[in-house]
Amino acid sequence: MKKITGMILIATMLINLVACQTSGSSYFYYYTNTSCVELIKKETKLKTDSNEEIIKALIDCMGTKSSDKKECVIKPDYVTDPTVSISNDYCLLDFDSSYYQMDSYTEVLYRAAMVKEITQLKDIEYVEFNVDGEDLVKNNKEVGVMTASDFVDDANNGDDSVEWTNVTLYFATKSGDKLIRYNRTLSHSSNVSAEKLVIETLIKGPTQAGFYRTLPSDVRVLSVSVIDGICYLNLSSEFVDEMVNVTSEIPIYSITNSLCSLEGIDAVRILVNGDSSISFRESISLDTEFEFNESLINE
Amino acid sequence: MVKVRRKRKKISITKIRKRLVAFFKRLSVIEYIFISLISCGTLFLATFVIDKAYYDALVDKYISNLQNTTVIAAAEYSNYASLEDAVESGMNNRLNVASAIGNVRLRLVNSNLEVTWDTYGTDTSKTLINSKILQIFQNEKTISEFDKENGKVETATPVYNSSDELIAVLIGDLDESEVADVFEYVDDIDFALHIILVTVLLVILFINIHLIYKKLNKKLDLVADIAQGHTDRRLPEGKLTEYKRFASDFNKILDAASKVDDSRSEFVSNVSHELKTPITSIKVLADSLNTGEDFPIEVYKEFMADIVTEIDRESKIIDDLLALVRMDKSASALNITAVNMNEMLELVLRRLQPIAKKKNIDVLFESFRPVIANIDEVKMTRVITNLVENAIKYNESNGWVHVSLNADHQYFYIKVEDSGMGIPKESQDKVFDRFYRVDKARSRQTGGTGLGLSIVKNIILMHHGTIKLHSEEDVGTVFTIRVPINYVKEVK
Repeated sequence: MKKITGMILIATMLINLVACQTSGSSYFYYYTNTSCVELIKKETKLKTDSNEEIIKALIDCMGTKSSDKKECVIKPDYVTDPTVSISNDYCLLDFDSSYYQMDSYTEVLYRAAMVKEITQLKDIEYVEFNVDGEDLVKNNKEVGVMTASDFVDDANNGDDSVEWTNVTLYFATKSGDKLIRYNRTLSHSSNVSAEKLVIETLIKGPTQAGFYRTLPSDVRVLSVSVIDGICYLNLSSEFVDEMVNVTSEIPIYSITNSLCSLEGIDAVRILVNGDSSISFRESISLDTEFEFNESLINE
Repeated sequence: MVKVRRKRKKISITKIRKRLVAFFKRLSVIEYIFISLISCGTLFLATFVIDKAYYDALVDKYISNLQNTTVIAAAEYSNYASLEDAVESGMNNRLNVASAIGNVRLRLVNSNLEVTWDTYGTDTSKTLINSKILQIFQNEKTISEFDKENGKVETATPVYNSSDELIAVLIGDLDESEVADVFEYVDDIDFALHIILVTVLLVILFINIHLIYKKLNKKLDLVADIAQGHTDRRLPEGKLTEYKRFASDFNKILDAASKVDDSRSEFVSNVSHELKTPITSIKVLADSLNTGEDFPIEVYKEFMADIVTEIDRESKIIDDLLALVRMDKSASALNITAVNMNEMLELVLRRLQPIAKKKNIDVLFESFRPVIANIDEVKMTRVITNLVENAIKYNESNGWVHVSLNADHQYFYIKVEDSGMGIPKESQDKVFDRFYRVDKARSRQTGGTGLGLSIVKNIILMHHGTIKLHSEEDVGTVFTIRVPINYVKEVK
């Protein structure tokens, strides 16, 4: 009997200590580190249904001191917690003037953390900060309505640095003399440029039936850069050494059309191992800028 | 029926296991496994270390290039009073060019943490939460980082305006797939290299070990053959040092063994011959008495006396043989006591006085000092007796025999000198051999067995002494023995 009561006591104590970790759905919130330069993501489980309650609970969790000495509460004590009001997919947080006492960088951290935390709820898309009923002003500019995508968090590399880009690629038809358009949303890490992504996907080849590759599979991209709207693409020698079963215009315009579909690129210049004076398959000179060619597209 | 089958299965499993164990006990297998493991291990370690060094060096190079591009681009802002002025002068385009040339992504972040320009376009006007930026706004130092897990190479540098105020941070990011690409290429080469080298290694090693052990096993087979009984075979020496050494020593053992065998057969044949001789004489004598005729009693008496002499001779031969064999067996069974050598010598000489008198030989004993030695009295007596007897036997009438005794702190010396017929030079080495007699006819007359001197030598050796002889034909012979006064069981 004593043992059981003892265990129950311990259990309830633990539950009280870990106030923010009752069962329910899991949500994340943020701490910062001791030097206040990054966001540290934490998880908790909340049972409440109403969005308002959830947000209030997250604000509580954010404000609770962490047991880990390396984790700090972002919001300074002198800043009062805001009042939360939600209408549909829009959430308004109203602070008082103590908000302006925060230093600039802590303010950004805090704001980013709040927006991310709030927009994690499925229904809420937009967040706005008010101070004493007025729009939040930063550096003489109104901050306005914010969404999750307005904030880029470089620290948590896993989820945030994966970007999804919609690209248009041109592969070959079965007969190898025409191009077919292929739209896809590709995931890539944020530091890979869209141009590189396009070329590498062309090299990898099509995954769907009915589309045929236009470039040899072991071509390597030596470099790709865009200057003044012209994309300079430097490919390895396999581009001319190895044959793909298509007519000689197809590889060139597969590249050109795909790249020109990207914003900011109007023409393409192809080099092979840095050499721009090569004749591709002895018939097409690469010493020119190629532009989007509609006639080769199979409609 | 089922039970029997199960047993058979069990037996074959144990058989297989036994075979496996035996297989792995072979030196060739152990060496092969060991060497191939070590070489493969070395190979992998080497490529691993080289790859790592190269990787680190390459990343360093990438980081420094990135830093370079970023810092140089950031430096341009110091020509302007504010970010807006810089943008108006086309700074964003210059960022694009720098980005294209250096193959990096550049993002300019203002003090609101807003990205005012992203050369990749994606983050422009977003708020960037990046610990490096925040750190720089705090302490204004360039930070570079290589995030190995994500292959991300990033550098962030402060941007100052013309009044040296910190107005922004410029972040440079390297397209990480560049680093990964290089390493994919290196990994591919590694892989191919590993496969080729390991295969080549395993094959060459296999051939090498196979050849070595084939040769070795051939020799072992020959040895097995010899062990089975073909003791006349010898191992061929070959060219390799180790094999040569082994074969030569092995053959020496076989030679020694066969020599022992030979000398044993020789000994047996000698013994049989020696033993037969008196018997033959007895038979001749007995046969001649047994013809059926009647002889006068003097003839019988004479022949019987001769028969007795032969029997005595045979008996002596057998005694000597037994003594020799017993001495061979029990080299350690010396009965060491303190013996007064002077007294012993006098005793021996006194006993031999009668036969000396017969030939009218003068026997002289000279002693330089009293000698007490720790020796086996019985055996040493036999030695002296033998030597003096020989000196008397192989002497002319009216000759002389000198026996002298001397000693120093370590040894005692006995010299037996005679004026006899001497020993011819070619026989001098062989006199100590068993059954060797210089003149067979002569020694038969004198009653010798041919074993005397070999017994003498044996006893002297058992005492760890030495015996030397000096002789000249028709002049005389000197036997000199030197024996340690104190018997030491082991001689180093």
